Amino acid sequence: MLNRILMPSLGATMEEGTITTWRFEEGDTVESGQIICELESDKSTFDFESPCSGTLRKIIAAEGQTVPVQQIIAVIGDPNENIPVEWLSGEQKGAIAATAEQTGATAETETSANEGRRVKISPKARKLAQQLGIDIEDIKGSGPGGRIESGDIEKAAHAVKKALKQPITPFGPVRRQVNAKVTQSKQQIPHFYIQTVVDMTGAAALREKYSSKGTSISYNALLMKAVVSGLEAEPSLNMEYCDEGLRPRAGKNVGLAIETPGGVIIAVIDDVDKHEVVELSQKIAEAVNCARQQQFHAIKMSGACMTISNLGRSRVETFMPIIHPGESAILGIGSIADRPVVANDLIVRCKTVPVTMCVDHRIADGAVAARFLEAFASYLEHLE
Amino acid sequence: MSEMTYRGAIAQAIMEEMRRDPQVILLGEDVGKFGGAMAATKGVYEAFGPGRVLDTPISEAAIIGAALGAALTGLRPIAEIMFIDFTTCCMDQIANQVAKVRYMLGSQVTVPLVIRTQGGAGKSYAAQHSQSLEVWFAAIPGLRVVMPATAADAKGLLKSAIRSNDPVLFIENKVLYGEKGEVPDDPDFLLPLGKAAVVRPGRDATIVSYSRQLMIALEAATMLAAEAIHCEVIDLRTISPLDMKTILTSLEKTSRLVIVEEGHKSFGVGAEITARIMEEGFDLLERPVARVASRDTPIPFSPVLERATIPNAGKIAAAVKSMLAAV
Amino acid sequence: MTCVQITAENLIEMLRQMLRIRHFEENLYQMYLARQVPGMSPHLSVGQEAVAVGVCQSLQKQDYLLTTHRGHGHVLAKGASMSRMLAEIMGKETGYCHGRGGSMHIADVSLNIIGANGIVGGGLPIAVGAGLSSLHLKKNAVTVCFFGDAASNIGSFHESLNMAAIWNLPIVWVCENNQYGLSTSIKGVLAGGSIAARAAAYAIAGVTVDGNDVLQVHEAAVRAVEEARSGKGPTLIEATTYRWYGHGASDNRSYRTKEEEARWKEKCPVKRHKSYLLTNNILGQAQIEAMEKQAQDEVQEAIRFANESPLPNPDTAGDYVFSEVL
Repeated sequence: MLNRILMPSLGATMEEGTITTWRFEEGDTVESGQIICELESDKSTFDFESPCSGTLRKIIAAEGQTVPVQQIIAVIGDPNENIPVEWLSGEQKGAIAATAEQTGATAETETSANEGRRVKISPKARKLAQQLGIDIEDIKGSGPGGRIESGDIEKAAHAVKKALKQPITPFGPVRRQVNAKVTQSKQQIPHFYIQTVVDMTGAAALREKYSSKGTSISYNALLMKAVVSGLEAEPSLNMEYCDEGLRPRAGKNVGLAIETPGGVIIAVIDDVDKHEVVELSQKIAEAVNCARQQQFHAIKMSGACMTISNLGRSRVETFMPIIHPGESAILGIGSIADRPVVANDLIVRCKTVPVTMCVDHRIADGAVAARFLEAFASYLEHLE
Repeated sequence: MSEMTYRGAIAQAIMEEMRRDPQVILLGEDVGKFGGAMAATKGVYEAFGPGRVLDTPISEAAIIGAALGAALTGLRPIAEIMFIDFTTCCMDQIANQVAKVRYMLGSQVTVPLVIRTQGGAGKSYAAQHSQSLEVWFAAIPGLRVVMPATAADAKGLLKSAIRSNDPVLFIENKVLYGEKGEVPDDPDFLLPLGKAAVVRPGRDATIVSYSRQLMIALEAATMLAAEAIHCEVIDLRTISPLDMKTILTSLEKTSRLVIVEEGHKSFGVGAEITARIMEEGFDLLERPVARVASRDTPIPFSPVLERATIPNAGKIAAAVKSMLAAV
Repeated sequence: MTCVQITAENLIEMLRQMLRIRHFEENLYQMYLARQVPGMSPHLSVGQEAVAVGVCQSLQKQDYLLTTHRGHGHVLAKGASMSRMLAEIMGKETGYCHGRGGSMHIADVSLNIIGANGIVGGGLPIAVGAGLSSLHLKKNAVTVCFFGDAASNIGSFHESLNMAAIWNLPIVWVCENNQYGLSTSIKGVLAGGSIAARAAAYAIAGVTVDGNDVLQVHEAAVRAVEEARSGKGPTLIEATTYRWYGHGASDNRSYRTKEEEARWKEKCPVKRHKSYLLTNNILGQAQIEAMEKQAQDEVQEAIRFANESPLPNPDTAGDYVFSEVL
C-alpha cells in the first residue's frame, strides 16, 4: 500500500508551497504524526506532519522546490511496492526514460500532455550536460533532426558562464507572490494617477495630543480613516471589478503595505469605519508586528477596497504604487515634511504630505477619484 | 625487412613454422605440387615433400575431419579450404567437431589446428566464389577468426595461429594476394591474435575495418584528409575475439564510428560491434554508429553490378561526412 | 588365411566385458525411466555387445577408438571406468568430461578413446586424421572407427573411406548394422544392399560377419587390425546385429514387429557366448553367475559414485572452450 503525500492547503488563498527542509531521507521509516518536512507558503511557514506511517519511498518535491497545493510531494508506504511512474516528477521520469533507452526497454513514461517531453540528445551530450549542470529542456539542438549535440551543450555552458557574474539568489515564496501580482496588475489593470498635497498640521497636532496623554495614534490610522471619508463621499470606489460589471464590497476595508524580509505584503483592516483611532492604531501595530515576524496566518491579507502604501518616513515626494489585484485603487503616501505653501498671500512653512492615488479606470473616472481625494484630504485637514 | 607479396608472406610463414616444428603439416586441395590454387603455398611441397604436404581429394569434410583427428593425436595441421564458399561442405566438422570437441570432452584434448581459406569479392567470380562468411564462424564459440590485411600482418598472424593450441580459422583475401608490403625477416616475428591495430591516427571519426576493406578504408581516409577530415583507421586483424578496447579508446577521441566490412550488412561484424558499443561505450557517441557493407544480395557477376554491391572508398567517405555534417 | 589364436582367458574376458556392458546399459535404462538421467534418452546398445567386445579385444592400448551416440559398449570394452562414465551421463563434475558432454560425447583420452560423436558420420573424418598422425608419427597405432548402418549413406563416409584408402591409413572401419536408422529400415535406403560391398568401391577389403557371434567378430577384427598395423591399409567390417531397445527409450519401436524382436533376442550374443563357454567347459554355471554378480556390483558401485558426486559449479560453465584466453 503506497500513500501519496500532497502539498497541503494552509489557507484558502494558498496556491503553492515551497519545501524548505526534508527532515527525513528516502528509505527512512516515518510514523504518523512525525514532522517530515518544513513548508513555506507566501503567508507562513509550517511543520508538516506525516499523515501515515511507513517507509519514505520517494521524495518527489526536493528542498527548495515550489509545488502547487494538492500536488504530490512524497510517497510513503510499503518498502517494496513499485511506485507508479505517473507519481514521479518530470525530471525523475526523464531519468527513467534515459535508463530505459540504454537498456533497450520500452518504458511507458508519457502520462499527461505537459510532462515527459522526450528530448533528442546524443549520449555524449547528455553526459556532458549532466557534468556541467546544464538543463537540456531549453536547448535547441543543431544535430540531425534537431538532436542536441555536445557543441550545443558547450555553447549553453559558455552562455551561462557569461551571463552570471554573481550566483543567482532564488526567489522566496513572498517575493514570488509579489512578482506575480504586480505583473498581473500592470498587465491587466488600466491605471490612472491623480495627486494632491495634504496639510498634515492638524494630524501632527492630534498625534501630539494623544502622545502627551500616554496613548499613541499612528499616521496610518488617520490615513485609513481618511480613506473611509473618501469612500463615504464616493461609494463607487468601494466596488470590485468583474468582467460583467462591478460588485459592491460589504465593508470598508483598507489595506496597508508592509515591508517584510521576504518582500512587501498587504495587511487588511476590516471595517475601518467601525474602529476609533486608538483601537485602529493598535490593530495596525499588531498587523505590522506579525508581518515583520512572518506570521502571515495571523493577518488578513485580502478583501480591501484599497491599500495605503506609506513611504512617509522617507524623502520620497511622489510615488505611484501598483494597484493590488482585486482592489480599486492604491494610495502612494510620500514623505510627511515641512514644505512651502501659499496661505493668505504669503509663502509659509507647512507640514504636508504628497498623496498619489492610482485608480483602476474601469471602476472610476478622474472626477470620481478627484472627489474621493477631496474628501480624503478634507478629513485630514479638519481633525479636532 | 623484405618486400614481398601477401601470398609470398603466407608461404614463408608456413615454411618457417614447418621448419621450426616437425609436427606441423599442410593438407588441402592442390596445395602441394601445384603450389595452391591461389599460389599461396608455392615452394612448401618442394621444401618438405609428400610426407608433410598432402594433396587431398575434393573432400572438404574429410580434409577438416582428418586435420582435426590429426590435431587430437599429436600433429599441428594446417588445412586449406580453397574458397570460404566451400566451407559449407565441411560445416559439421568445423562447427560441431573442431569448435566443440575440447569443450565437450571437458578439456581432455587441445586442438592446435589452423584452417586457412580465402574470401572476398571484386574479381567477378560470381556468387559462389566471392563471399565473406567470417560472421558465420565468429558466431561459433570455440573458434578464433583471424583476417590479415597486409603481407606483414599475414605472416605475423599466421605464425601466431600455427603456434596457438586452439583452432584458428585464418581467412585470407583473394584481391590482396598480389599486394606487396614490407615484411620482417625475423623467423619469430609474431603478431598477437585478438588485438586490433590503429593503422592511421586521427581525431574526427573512427573507421573500423579488416582485410581488403581495410585498404579501401585507408583510401577513403586519404580522400577525406584532403578535405581536412582526419579519420582514425583501425584494423581489427582478429574478428573473434573482438578487441573492443582499441575501438573504445579511439571513440573517446572521435565520438563517431563507421564500420566497414565486405560481408552483408544484415547480421554482420558491424552489427556485433554496434551492439557492444551500446553496452560499453554508449556515452561516447555523438552520432549513431554507421555501417558500410555489401548489400543483402548474392554477389553479382557483371563488374558494374559487383561494384554497386560491395563497399568502396566513395561510400565510406560519404558515411564519414554524414557523421560530421550539421543537419 | 592364418588362424586367429585365442586363449581361454580371452574367451572368459570376452564374457566379462559383455556382461559389464549388458548390466551397465540395462541399469542405465531403468535409471532413465526413473528420471535420474538428464537430457534425451541414452542410446542403448543392449544386444550389440559382441561387436564392441569382439573388436576391442583385438586392440592394444595405443590404438585409437572413435564411436557414436550409441557408444557406451565400445567405450566400456576398451576399459573405461563405469563410474566416470555414469557420472558423465548424469552431468556430474566427476564425469569424464566434467559434465560438459554427456552420453553422446564420452571420451577417455588416456585410453585413446578420442570421442563419441553425436553427428551421424561425424567421427569418420576424424578417424582419418588419427590414422594420419599414427603414420606420420610412427606410433604403431591402429584406429578403429565404429559407425552405424545409416552412416554408410552420409557424405563423410565416402570421403573418409576414400581418403583413408588412398593414403593407406591404419584404420579399421566397423559398421554395426543393427538394421535401422531410428525408424528407417536399412533395407529400403541402402543402394546395393550391402555395406561391406561398398569397400570394393574404395579398393579395400570388405567383410560381413555375424555381429552377435563374438568369436566371428573377433576373428575378423584381429585380421583387419593386423592388416592395418602392418601397413596394408584399411578394412571395412560390416557386423550384422540388432538393438533390443528403440533408438532411445521413448521410442515405441512401432516400426519393428514383435516377431522380429523375439527372433533377434533368441540370438542374444551374451546367451550364445555363455552357452559356448559352458559347452566347451571353459566356465561352469556358478562361475558365470559369479561373473554376472561381479558385473552388477560394478554397476552398483558406479551408481553410488555417480549419485554421491557433485554437480559442476555453474560459474565454471565458460571454462574449457579454449586452452588459452587471449
